[in-house]
Amino acid sequence: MTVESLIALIPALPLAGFLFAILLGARIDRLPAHGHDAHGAAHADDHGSHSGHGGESHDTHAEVDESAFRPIPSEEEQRATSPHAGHADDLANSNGADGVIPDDLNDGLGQTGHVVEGGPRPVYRSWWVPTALVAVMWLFSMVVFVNVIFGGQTYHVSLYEWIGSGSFHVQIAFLVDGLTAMLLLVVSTVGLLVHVYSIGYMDGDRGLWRFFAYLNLFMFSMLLLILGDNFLMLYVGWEAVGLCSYALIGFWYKKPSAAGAAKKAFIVNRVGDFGFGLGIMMIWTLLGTVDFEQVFASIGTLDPTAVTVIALLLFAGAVGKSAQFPLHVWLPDAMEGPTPVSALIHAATMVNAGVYMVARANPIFAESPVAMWVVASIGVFTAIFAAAIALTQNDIKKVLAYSTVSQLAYMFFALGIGAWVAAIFHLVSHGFFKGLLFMGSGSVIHGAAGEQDMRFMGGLRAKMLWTYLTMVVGSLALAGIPIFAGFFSKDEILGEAFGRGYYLFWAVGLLVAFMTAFYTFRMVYMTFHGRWRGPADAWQHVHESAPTMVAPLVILAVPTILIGLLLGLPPEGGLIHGWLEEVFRGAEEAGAGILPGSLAAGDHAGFSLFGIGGLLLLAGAAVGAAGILLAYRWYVRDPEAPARFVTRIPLGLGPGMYAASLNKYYVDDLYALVWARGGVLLGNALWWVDAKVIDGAVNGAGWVAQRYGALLRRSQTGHVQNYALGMAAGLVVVLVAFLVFRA
Amino acid sequence: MVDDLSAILPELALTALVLAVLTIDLFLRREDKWLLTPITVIGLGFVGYTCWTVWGVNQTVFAGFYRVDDLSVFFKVATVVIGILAALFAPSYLAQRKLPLGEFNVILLFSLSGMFVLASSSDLITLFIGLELMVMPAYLLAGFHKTDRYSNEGGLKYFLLGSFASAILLFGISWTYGLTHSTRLSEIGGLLTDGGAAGLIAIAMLTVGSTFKAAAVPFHYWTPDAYQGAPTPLTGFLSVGPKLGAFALLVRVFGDGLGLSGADWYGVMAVLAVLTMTGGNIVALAQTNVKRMLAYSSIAHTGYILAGLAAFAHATDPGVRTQGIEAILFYVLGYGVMNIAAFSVVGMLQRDPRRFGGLSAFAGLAGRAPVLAAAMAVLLLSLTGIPPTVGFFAKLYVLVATVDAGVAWLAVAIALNAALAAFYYLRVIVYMYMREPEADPAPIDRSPLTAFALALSVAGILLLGLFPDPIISFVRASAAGLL
Repeated sequence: MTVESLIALIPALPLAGFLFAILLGARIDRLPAHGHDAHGAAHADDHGSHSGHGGESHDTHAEVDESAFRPIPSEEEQRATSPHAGHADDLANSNGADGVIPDDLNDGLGQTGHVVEGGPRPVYRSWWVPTALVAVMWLFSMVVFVNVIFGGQTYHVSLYEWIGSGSFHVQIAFLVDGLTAMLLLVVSTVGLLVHVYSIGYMDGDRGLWRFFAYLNLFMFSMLLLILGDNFLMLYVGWEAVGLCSYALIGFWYKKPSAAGAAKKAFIVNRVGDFGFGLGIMMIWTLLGTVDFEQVFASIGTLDPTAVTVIALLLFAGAVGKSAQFPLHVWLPDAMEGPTPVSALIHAATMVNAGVYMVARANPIFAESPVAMWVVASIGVFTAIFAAAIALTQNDIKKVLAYSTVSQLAYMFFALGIGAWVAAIFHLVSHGFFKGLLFMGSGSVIHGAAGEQDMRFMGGLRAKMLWTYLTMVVGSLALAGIPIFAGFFSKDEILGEAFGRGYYLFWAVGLLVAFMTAFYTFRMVYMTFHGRWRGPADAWQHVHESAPTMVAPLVILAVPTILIGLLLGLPPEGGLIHGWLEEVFRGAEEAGAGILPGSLAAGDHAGFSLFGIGGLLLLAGAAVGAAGILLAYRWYVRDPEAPARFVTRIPLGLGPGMYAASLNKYYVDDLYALVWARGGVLLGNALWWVDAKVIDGAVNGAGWVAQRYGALLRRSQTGHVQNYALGMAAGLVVVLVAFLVFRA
Repeated sequence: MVDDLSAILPELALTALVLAVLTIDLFLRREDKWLLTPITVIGLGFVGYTCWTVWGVNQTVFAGFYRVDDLSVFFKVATVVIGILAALFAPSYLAQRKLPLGEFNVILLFSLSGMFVLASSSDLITLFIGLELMVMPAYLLAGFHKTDRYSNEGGLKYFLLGSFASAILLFGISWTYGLTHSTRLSEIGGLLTDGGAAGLIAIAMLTVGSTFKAAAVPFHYWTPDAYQGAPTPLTGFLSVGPKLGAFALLVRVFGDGLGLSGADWYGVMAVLAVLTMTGGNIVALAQTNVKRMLAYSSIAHTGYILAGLAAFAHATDPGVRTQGIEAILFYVLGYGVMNIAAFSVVGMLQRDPRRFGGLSAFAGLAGRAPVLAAAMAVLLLSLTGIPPTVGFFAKLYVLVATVDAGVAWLAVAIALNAALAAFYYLRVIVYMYMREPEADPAPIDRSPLTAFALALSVAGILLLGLFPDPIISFVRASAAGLL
C-alpha cells in the first residue's frame, strides 16, 4: 500500500467509525449486559421493536443503574457541610461538568459512571469499533509521519474534483508536508489516547454510542482540517470541528449549564468564523483560487492593503477558534463537557487550529507587517491576561482552561514575531502535556466523586499515585522546568523574542512564565498535597482510576518528558527546525515579523550556550523554579500567606484585584451586558417588528396559500368530467396566452 | 455509420426481454415466480449495456423516422435505471397483496420500451407511437390492483384523461402537418413559426398534450387520483417513468423541433413552470397523507424541470441553451431515483394493506427502524435539495441554467418554492425523529429485496451528491448531441 493511499484512508477511518457508531452504536448498547458477542447480536436484534427514540430507551439494567448513583453526595450537601460555604458564588462557577447531577436530571445522560460496588450495571460496548478504527488510523498516521519527516517527502494526494463550476474549482486533495505531519502526530496520538481514556471515563453512560460517534466525527473533521490542501477544505474542517465541539460540550444536554456552554462556544466562534469566511471569499475574489499553493504563489501580486485585510480576516477566525482575547470567553465555559473532550478538543487539537491556520498561511501574513503586529500583540496580551485569571481560579479544569488560553497566546505571540518554528514546536509539546494534564484532572475528578473545586480536595497523592506522578510531570512541563517539553519550546519563543529585539514582549513573556509555574503548582499542591478538605465520607470513595484511564496518562508522560530533548536540542536549531524549514522558508526570507525598531534579520545572532542565549535559558528556568517555590510556600508551607499578601498590596487594591481576577476581569459580565442584554433589547424591538410586520406578511401569505390550497383542493373533485373541463379550460388559456405573447 | 438494425439494438434487446419474460412466466410454477425479478433485472442490465453500443452513433435511421443520438442514449440509460429500481421495489408489495408478478414485469417492460421509442423519435408519428406505447401500460399499472376500487378508479381516470390529452396532442400534430406538410421534427420548426396564428395554435396543442404527460398545472388533475390509487411502489414508477418519457417528448418537440422559435413559447413555458411548482407545493402543504403529499410534490418537481426548458428557450448563447437541457436531464435522473425510492418507503409501511401511509405511520420511525428512517431522511433531504445529495445538484443545475439564461425571476420562484417544499418534507423527518410512535404502529416490510433496492437508491443519491462529476459529464456529452 502506498503512502498516498494511507493518507486518503486516514480521515476515512474515523468517518467509518462515526457512521458505525451512529447507525449501530445504540443497538449494541441496548443489548443485555451479559449477553453474547456484541457483533453477532447486533444483527440478530434486527427485528426488535424498540420503543422510544435514539438510544435513550429504557431497559431494566439502566433503571437499576440510576439508583446506583444516588449514594454520592450531591453538590448542595457538599456545600452545606463545607467550611467554605461562604464562597457559594464561586462554587456556582465551578458547577462541575463531571459533578454529580441532581437526580431529576440524571436519566443516564448526565453522569460518568461512578458505581457503588455490587450493584448490577449496564455494560455498554459501542466503543470498541470506533476506538479500533482510530487505532488503525494512528498506525497509518505514524507511517505517514515517518515518511514525511525522515523521508523528507511532501505528499500531495488528489482524490477528485469536488466542485468544478465555471471558474471555481476545488479539489478534494490532501497536502502532507512537515507542518501537517507535526499536527498529524499530535492529533492522532492524543486522539487515540483520549479514545482509550474515554472507555474508562464514560463507562456506564447511557449515551456512550453518541459520545464515540461524536469523537470519531471530530477526528474526521480535524484530520480534514489539517490535511486539506485548500482553504475551502480547511474551512469545512474548521466548521465541522466547531460543530463537534458544540455537540460534545453539550453532550450532557439535559444539564442547563452544559447546553448553555455549548451554545456560547458555538455563537462566540461564529463571530470569528464570519471573518474567516469573508477572508476566504476575498482570497477567491481577488485571486480566483483557494488552493494553498496557488494562493501563496500569487499573494505577492496583490495590493498590500488587500493582503492586510485578508490576513486580519483570517486571523479573526483564529482568534475565535483558538480562544484569544476578546473571543476567549467560550473556552473556560467549554469545560462543562466531559473531561476527555476537554483534553482532546479544548487543549490538544481543535484550539490549535487557529495556530495551524496562521502558520499554514504564513506567506500571507509575511506580506503584511501590520497583521503580524496584530497577531503578536493579541498573543502577548492574551498570554498575560489569561494567566492572571488562572492565578485565582478554584475549579481545577478552569485553571487548565485559562492556562490553555494563555499558552495558545504564547504561540500566536511567536507567530507574530516570525518565530514560526518555535510556535509549532510549542504547539506540539503543549498538545502532549496539556492533554496529559487534562486527562489527569479528569482522573482526579473521577476519583474524587465528581468534585472539581480544588478547595475541597487535597492529599489525593496518597490514593492516586499514578495520577499524581503523571500530573507532576505534565505540570513541570507546563511550568517550563528544564528537560521537560515545555521548557524547550517556551524558551525558544522567549529566546527568539529577545533575539529579534522585542524586549518588552520578552519581559511580559517571562512574567507569564513565572505566573504559569505558580498557578500550575498551586493546582498540584491544592489537589494532591496537604489534607483532604472535602466531606469526610467522600474520602472513602476516593480511588485511583481504571487502567484504561491511567495508561494514557503514563503513555503521554513519555513525550512530555522526551519531546523537548529530542526535538529542541540545541535550542533554536533542533531537529524540528530542519523538518519545518521548507514550510516557512519564504516567510523567513521575507523577514516577516521584523518591525521597525527591532533588530534586522541579519543581526539575529542565533543561539550560543555561553552567550546571551545561555543566560536567557537560565532566566527561563529560574522564573519557572521561582513560581513553583512560591506556590510551595503559599499552598503547602503557609496556607495563610495568600490572604496576607492580598491585604498587603498598596492602596488597598488587593481585594479588588483578587475579585477581578476571580471574576475573569468581568469580560463575561461585560459581554452579558452588551451583547446578551443589548441583544435582548434589540431582539425585543425586532420581535415587535417581526410579530407585527413580518409575521403579518408571512401569516398573510400563509393564509393566502392555504386559501389557494383549499381552493385548488376543491378543484380536485374526483369527477373526471370536471377534470376534463379544467384541462379544456387550460387549453384555451394556453392558446390565448400564445397569441397574446406573440403580439 | 451503422445499419438500421444495429442502431436499434437496445430496442431489440428490450423487446426480446419482454417476450422472454412473458413466455417464461407461463412455464413457471407459482412458487418459482420470484425468478422473474432477477430475470427482468439482469435483462434490463443487459439492455443498459447495449445502450453503450450506440453511444456516439448520432445518426437518423429508418428514413429519418428514428434518431439514435447521445441524447436518446441518456434517456434510455435513465429508463433502464428506473426500470431496474421499479422491478426491485415492487415484488414484496405485490406479493403481500397477491398481485401477479409476471404481469407486472411484462407491463413494466412494455412501458419502458415505449420510453425507448419516445427518446429516439425524430418524427411526430414515431413520437406519438412511442408515447402511447409508454402510457397504455402505465394506465394498466395504475389500475393494477384489480380488486381495489381506488386503484380501479385511479386507473380509469388516468386512462380517460390521458386519452383526452393524447387527442389534443394528435390534433396538434395534424395542425402541424396541415401547416408544414411535414411531420419531421427537424423540418417543422421554421415552418410553424412562419405559420402565423395557426402555427401558434398548433404549438399550443403540442404544449398541452405533452405537458399533460409531465403532470403540469393545470393539466395535473389526474395525478393525485391515479397516484393514490395505484399500488405504492407502482406509484413510484408512475411518478418517474412516464414523466421521464414526457420530458423526452418535451425535449424532442421543443428542443429538437421548435428550438429555434424559442421566443414564441418561452413565456407560456415559464408561466406553466411557475404555476406547476407553486400549485404542486401549495396543495402538498395541506396533505397529511404522505403518499398524496409525494404525489403533489412530484407535480412541483415537474415545475422545476419545466423551468430548465424555459431557460433553454430564453437563452441565445448556444452554451447556455444546452445548459437548460443538461439541467433537465440531470434533474429527471436524480428525481427519478429519489422519488421512486421515497414512494417505496411509504409502501414499506403499508405491509398491512389497510394502512394508507399517513403521516402518523412515520411517527417514531427512527426508534423502530433507525436505518429505514435514516434512508427516508436522506431521500427527503434530497427531494428538498440539501447537499450532499443529488437533489441539491439537480436544483443547483436548474438555478444556474435559469440565471445564466437571463431569467433570474424563475430562479427566485424556484428558490421560494424550495422553501415551501422544505416545510412538508422536513415535517416527515420531524415525525420520524421527534414524535412518539403510535400505540399500534404499522408493521414494516423488511423484505431483503426492497431493502437492497433502497440501499442502492440511497447510496446512489449520496454518491452522486458527493461525486456529481461523472454524471455531469455524461449529461453534458448527451445534451451536446442535441445541437
